[in-house]
Order: sequence, then C-alpha cells, then structure tokens
Amino acid sequence: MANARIVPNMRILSILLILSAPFLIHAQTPCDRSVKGRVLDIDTNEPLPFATIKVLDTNLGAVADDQGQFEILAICQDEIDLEIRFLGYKTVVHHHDFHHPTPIIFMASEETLLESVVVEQELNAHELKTLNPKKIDVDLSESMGSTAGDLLSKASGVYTLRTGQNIVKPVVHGLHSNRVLIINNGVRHSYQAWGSEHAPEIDPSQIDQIELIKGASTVRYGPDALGGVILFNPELPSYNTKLNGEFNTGFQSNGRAISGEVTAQAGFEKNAWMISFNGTKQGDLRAPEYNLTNTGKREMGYSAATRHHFSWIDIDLYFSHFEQELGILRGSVNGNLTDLANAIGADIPNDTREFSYEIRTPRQETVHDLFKIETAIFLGKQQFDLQYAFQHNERREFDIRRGTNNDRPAINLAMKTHTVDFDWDHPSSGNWAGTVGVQFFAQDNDNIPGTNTIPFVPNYNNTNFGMFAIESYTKEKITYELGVRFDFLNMNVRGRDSSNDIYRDNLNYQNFTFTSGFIHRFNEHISLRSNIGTAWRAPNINELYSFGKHQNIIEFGLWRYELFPSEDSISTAVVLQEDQKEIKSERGVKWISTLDIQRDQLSVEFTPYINWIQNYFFIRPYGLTNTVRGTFPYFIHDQTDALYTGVDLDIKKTWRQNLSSELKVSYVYARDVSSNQPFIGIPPLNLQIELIRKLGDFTVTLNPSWTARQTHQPPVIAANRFTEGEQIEFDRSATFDFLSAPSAFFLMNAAIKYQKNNFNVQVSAQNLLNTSYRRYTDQSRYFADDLGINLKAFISYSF
Amino acid sequence: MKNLKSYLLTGIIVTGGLFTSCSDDDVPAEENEEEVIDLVTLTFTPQGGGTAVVATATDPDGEGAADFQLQDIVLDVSTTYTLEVTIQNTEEGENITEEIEEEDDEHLFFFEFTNDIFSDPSGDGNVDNRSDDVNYNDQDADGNPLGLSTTWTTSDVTSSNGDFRVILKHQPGIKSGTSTATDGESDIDITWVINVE
Repeated sequence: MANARIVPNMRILSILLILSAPFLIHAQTPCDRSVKGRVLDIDTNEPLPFATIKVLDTNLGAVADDQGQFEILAICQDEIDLEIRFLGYKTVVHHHDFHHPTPIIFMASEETLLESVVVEQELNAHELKTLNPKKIDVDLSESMGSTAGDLLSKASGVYTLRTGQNIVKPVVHGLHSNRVLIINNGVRHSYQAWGSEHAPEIDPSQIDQIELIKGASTVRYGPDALGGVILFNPELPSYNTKLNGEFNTGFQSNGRAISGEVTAQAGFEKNAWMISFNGTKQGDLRAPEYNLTNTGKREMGYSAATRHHFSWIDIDLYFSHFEQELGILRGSVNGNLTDLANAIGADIPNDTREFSYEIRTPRQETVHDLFKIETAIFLGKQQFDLQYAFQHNERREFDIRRGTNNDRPAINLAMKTHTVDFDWDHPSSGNWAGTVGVQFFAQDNDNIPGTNTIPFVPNYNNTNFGMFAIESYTKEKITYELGVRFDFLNMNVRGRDSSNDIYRDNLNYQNFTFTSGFIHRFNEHISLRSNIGTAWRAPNINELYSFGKHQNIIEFGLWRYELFPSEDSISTAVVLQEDQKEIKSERGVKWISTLDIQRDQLSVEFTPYINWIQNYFFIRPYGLTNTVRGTFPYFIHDQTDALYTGVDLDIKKTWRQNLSSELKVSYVYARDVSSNQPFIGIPPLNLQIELIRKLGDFTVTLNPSWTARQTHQPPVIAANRFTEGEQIEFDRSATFDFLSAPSAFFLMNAAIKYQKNNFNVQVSAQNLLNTSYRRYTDQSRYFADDLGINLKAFISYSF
Repeated sequence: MKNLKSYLLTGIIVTGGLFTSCSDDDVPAEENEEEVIDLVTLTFTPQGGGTAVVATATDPDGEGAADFQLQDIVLDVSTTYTLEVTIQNTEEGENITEEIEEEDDEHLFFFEFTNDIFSDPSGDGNVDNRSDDVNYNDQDADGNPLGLSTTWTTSDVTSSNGDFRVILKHQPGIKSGTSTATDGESDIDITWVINVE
C-alpha cells in the first residue's frame, strides 16, 4: 500500500515542477545587486561594530556600523562569498546568493569552542505575522534524557499533561492532544494523539529550538490547532564549516540515568551533512519518600541530514529514527473501584520495590521514523517551498494481564503517513505580502493482530486536503493580516464490535477557517499584536469508537452508546452511524493579543486570550457497572461548549551586566458552558522565576517556581465512598473527580555551567529541596508523589 | 494570479485522484477475547452426600454498561460443604480455572460473608483481615493457600439475605503468607446473596 501512495505524490511533485518552469528564466544581472546583514557576538547577541566584511574575489567590502549592520552595493555576480572578520573572533566565510534572505553573522570568540555561524533570516517565514511565535533555544544539557514536553514547559502559558515522568504531553493555554498541533522538523507530527498517555514520539536530543504559537493558526498549519501550534526544530548542518562534532554525556541521580550523544557535521560551499546518534537508559525514579517502581525508560535515536544548495533551489534531506520503551508506575494501574480506592488510599504506591533498571508491565514501546525532502525554489523575487515527508509510527501498550498475555501488547497500532506541503510566497508588491499554500496529508492506521483482545479503536485512514492564502498589508506603523483556509477530511473506518462483528463507516468533514489580525508598532519600544482566528478538528477515533477499559476507566465513544433518558438507561450494545447520531466537528474561535515592551534593561510581554469552543469533545462519568471483576465506573464521550480564557506574563530584567532575571506567570480559566461546571485537569496558576548570574567561565542559574492549588475543580466523590457500601446518587449531567486537586507547591531548581576551551560542564539540581508534591495535570497524582531531588551532570567535548 | 489559480486547480485535481486511489479496506483481524471472564460458578457439594448447590454469575456484555446476573446461594443449616470455584470464558470456550491453577503462585481467593453465617469458619472472612479464618483445601508450591477449593460448615441458625463475597486477586510477584485483599488487582469481585435454611 505504501508504494502505491508514493506514486501519486510524486505526480504532484512533478506537475508542480513542470508548472514552475515559466519562472526558470534567469534575468540578466547588471551590477545592481546589494547585500545587507548584521554581525553579532554568538554568546551575548551584542552587535560587533567595525567588523569587516569582504566580497571575495572582488574589491568590494564594508565595515559594520555601531549596530553591527552593514550593506554592500554594486555587486555584479549572482552568487558571492562573504568573508567576515573581527579581531579576536573566528573568521567565517558565507556563500550568499541573492535569492536568499538577509544573512545574520554570529561570530564566535577564539576562546570558545563554538564556531562562527551565519543564519539566513526568515528563510521559512511563512508564519502568521500577527501571531508572533515564542522561540525557545534548547540546550543539550537540558534535553538529554528529558522529554519534548518538559522542554517546552519553560515557556509561559505551557504546562504538561503527564502520566508519571516518562509520558509528557504539552498543554497550551489549557488544551492538549488533538487540540495542539505539533510540527516536528517542518512536518505535521503524525501519531496516536488521542490518548492522554500518548506522548508525541519526538527525540528530545534532536531539538535545537522550539517555536510556540499560542494563537489558533489553523489557517497556516491545518486542523487541530485550536490551542496553538508547537514547532520542534532540529539543528541543521551549516555550509562552510570544517568537520566538527561533539561527544555529550549526561547523568542523573534520580533513576540513575545515563545518556550519551555523538554528532558530527561538515559543510562545504554548496553541500553540508550532519549525523547524530543518542541513547538513554533510566531505572526506577524516586519520589522523596519512596521508589516509583517500574518508571525506567530506554530511548535510542539517530538522524542524518544533508543540505544541497544550487543557484535557484535548495534541497534538504532528513531522516530520523526514534524508539522508546517507557515504564509506567506499577502502582498507578489497578482494577475495579475497590482496587482504585485502595490504590488512592495507599501511603506508598502498591507493589513498590527496590531500585531496578528492569521495565515490566505496564509499559509502552514506540517507534517513530521520519523521512523528509524539503526544497526551496527561488525564482526572481518569489520563493516556493515544496516538501514531501513520510512517517512511520508504531505504538505498543503492555498492560498487566494474565499468563502469556502479559507479554502481548493490549494495544498494537502502526501508522503510516504521507504529507505534501507546498507554499508560494508571492513577491511583495508595494505594501502587500503573502503566502499561498496547499497541504495534503494521508494517514493509514492499522491494528497489528495478536493482541488477544478486541481492538480498542478501529483501523482507520485519514486523508486531509487543505489550501490556504494569507495576505498582509503594511502601512507605516501598522500591519494588517488576513487569511482563509479550506479543509476537506475523509475518515474511513473499519472495526470490530464487542462480538467481533465488523463495522465500517466513511466520514467526510469540511470546514473553512479564517484568521485576521494586526500589529501596531507604536514606537521602537512598544508594539501591540492582536489576532482572532478560527480552528476546527474532526472527532478523534476514540471519541467515536472507543469501547472498554483503557487505563483505569471504562469508556464508550459517542457511537458506542445510546441513551434512553425516559428510562434513565444506557445501551452499549450498538455501533451507531452518522445518520443515527450526528456528530459535528469541534470549532473554536481564539482571540489573542500581545503587548510587547522592549527597553534596554527591561522587556515585558503581556498576553491575554479567550478561546470559545463549540461542540467540544470531552469525557464524563455516567454510571457504575457491575462486572465479574467488580464494580467499575464508566465514562461516556460527549460534546459541549467550552470557554478557555487566561493571561501569560513574561518580564525580563537585566540588573547589571552579569545579572539578569525573568518572571513568568500563567493563568487559565476554563468552563463547560453548557452544563456550567469546571473541567477536570485544568492547569492551576503558575509562577516561575529565573535568576542568571555570570561569574567568569561560570554561569549560575536559580529557578524557583510556585504552582497554586486548582480551586476551580469539579466536586469530589472519593473512590472509597463507592466501596464502603454507601449508596451514592450522583447527578449524571455533572462531572466529578475521585480525588481533590493537590496542594500548592514550591520547587527550587538550580544549575551551574562551566565552559572552557573544548569542554562544557554543567551540574544542575531539580527539586533541590526534595519537596513532596503532586501535579494536578499528572494522571499519576492519584497514586504517587512526583519526583524527588534529581542531580544532573552534563559533560560535552567538541572537536 | 493566473499561475496561482493553476496551482490550486492542479492541487485539487491531483488530490481528488488520491482520495479514490488510497482507500484501503483492511479490517482488524478477529481477536480472541482471552481477557474476559463471563461465567463464574460456585459449586457447594455437601460432604455427607446429596445434591450440590450451584450459584453462577454471568456477564455476557463484559465491559459493556450492563450489569451481571447472579443466582442466589441456598444452603442447609449445620451442613459441611466443599466449595469449588470454576471460572470460564464461554465466548471463547476457555477454561480460566486451569490458568489460575497453573499460576497458583500469583492468585489468591479471599472470602467475605455475613458474620457467623458459618460455624466453621466463624467470623466474617479474610477480606478485612488476612489472618482471619478460611478453610483452604489447596495451596501453591510456596505453601500459600489458593482457594479454588474450600470447606464450609453452615451455622445451626437459619438466616436469609446474607452476603457471600468472593474476590480473586491477581498478585504477581507480591503473593505471600501475608498479602491481603488490598494487594494486586481483582480478577473477580462478586457478592452473592446467601440464604441458610
């Protein structure tokens, strides 16, 4: 099947290339070319005035001004080599052609191990201008052995939805899973996004930078982006760099984890390559008071990237492989309500054992492969981007089962995805600039036989075709932006009901989405952005078809139950179709504004937002069922209208040359508007402070944070009340939780970095005070405390 | 803008072709539901001879929302019975009792009943307190009881509408001489109505 689908995709590619032929005529070049750029210190980002820039093989050149900026006029050639020199810094040569955007040169001091690099500004700037992405640079010392979700949680407005320590999903403005779109390496990450315990399979060691878009930018990136979009960007090889590489090792006391990574890269004038390999082994983690049995993990990943530059086209190839084996806390998985009540009430989690590297059940195994061809075509003043990617994703979940079934996955899914993205940046004419794009996405998801249990979700194919246009108009201090998108989504479903009979369905969804916004730059220090955008998503496969026990509860998808309100009864012996129960897609409108103040010593970013979501899919408790295994609570998937609103605040202040601080505050309020009640698991108010002090070769960071208790929570019916013979009448229209939200907590993290010559050494501590705490957004909060103190060491050697 | 139009048009046409070409039709393979216990049978055989008393619990829809169905247990006063528990997956024709026997070091039955409904064991069973009296007839290789077979002597007083609760705990790696009804997961947790006449 896979081959059959590559062929038509190649068809698109060749047709588009043929269509672009008229642009392939090169204009004559009189000596009217010019190049602008900026020279900065790679370490401090300070400008380097009086750096000299020379066009090799000519007499042309320039000296940077006090802002580090330069401009060279009257260049005759189509392509040039720029040599940038600054006393005490490593000289760099940059190959530039005029189809490419403005180069920014980051010069590295001769004393550091870093190389000078050149970054071409805004090569991929098809982002919505009125939704400024928040960029987070990721340091390998943080990412090794960590998770993609945790790396992102440094940003304000982002939390993590966890199943213990190993399974971490990002939550943006209270939304997660299929409501946050993840773009890994420029490709829509295709995975089993539906489960709260299905973390995106993204190799943390590969992440160089994270971009977070908090607005509803469905228009640009496609369905599902109701909460926002997260872009994980890897490091790419640079042109014109001699062979270099790194050995990195990391150790963590908690879990006795060891991680390693090797990278090598080299760049020539028109080609560059990079390879990397990494692995992590972690044993059982520890809360302050007890071991967290069966929380080890294994991770292994490798990647290869090449870049090829031609006068009118850039071709980047990328391949990555990532596999994980993730242990889940033994004491967090249990049986009926009595077992649940026992587990919640236990002082230490059930079956807590001595430290071990062994990973037993429950556990997850995942594999994710990505292959990508990305091209950027420059024709005159136009840029076209054409990208094809193939992803292969495997997920196996091993539950605690009887006998030989214990070694069989209870869920075994394989997913193949093809994506084609085509963007055209039309030349700015006057005050107008814009992008037009087409996106195609085909996902084939199959259950792998041999689970000895009827699949929890059916086999399904998703095919999505989208096209969009975004146009912006700039006049003096104000830029206006408008965008529109059309999506068509087909979902083809084949499954088996509880008596193993086959059911099928073929579902089509289509939606228009819009975005509009403005940026007002009041002066060089203050700007205001505001954007209102719509987003949508089709129901997830589990929201329609899930049936049975998953994690600790029994759940029924929207088409697997029928309610009979007059008799107050429910039937789950059905598989419904669209004409029997119409399920509308979820639609959201998000309005987000950012006030940005940038002064020399102070920067402030204030972001309020409001997100109104219609036909919001959620899960609610509906009743208790008596089975042979005891009494279980069961939950039904349903739809309502939801309101999410909140603010993010980010203040950075430089106190002295070597002392700076940052304060981040995030608050979100969410409500089920139809039933007028709160949702479970909305992140509480959170404050983070970071103090950074530089002392010679040392950098010391202190990072205290405080998380409030979530007071806006549904009523609690303790699990043991059900089991102590009490007759509990709960309101079927109201949600409830088995345990109240955990207390507020204060955490202290600290780090010391030392960098000299080829060595980079870092020592850091998480939860330095060894505080016992639980997070409201952690599925394990019912059963165990979060992680105790963790000391980390990181050593890097570059060659 | 003419070019733009042709791009979009091409995109639509090509993609339209794809929709028809990529609808594969594979259905998930039929899986044996080996997990599900849908029939539990209690057989009380009087030791002096006579008709065995049988009580079942059936749960045809498994994890569906419908409750299971129970038969009441009716025993004679002052009679000693051997209780055999059998566990089945009738859907797959699977005898789970055998699996439990093979994995006797991971499984343990607990019993709870209305106080003093039996003269031996007396009390209310070992769910609340493991060391309380229950007469197990079988044990695993480590000498710990299992409970597929147990012995019961009813009291000489009649009673009706009592409770008789049977819990089968799956305790892999944690079953011991002291592991309790709160350890591990419940494979079975059923409360029958018991009458002693």
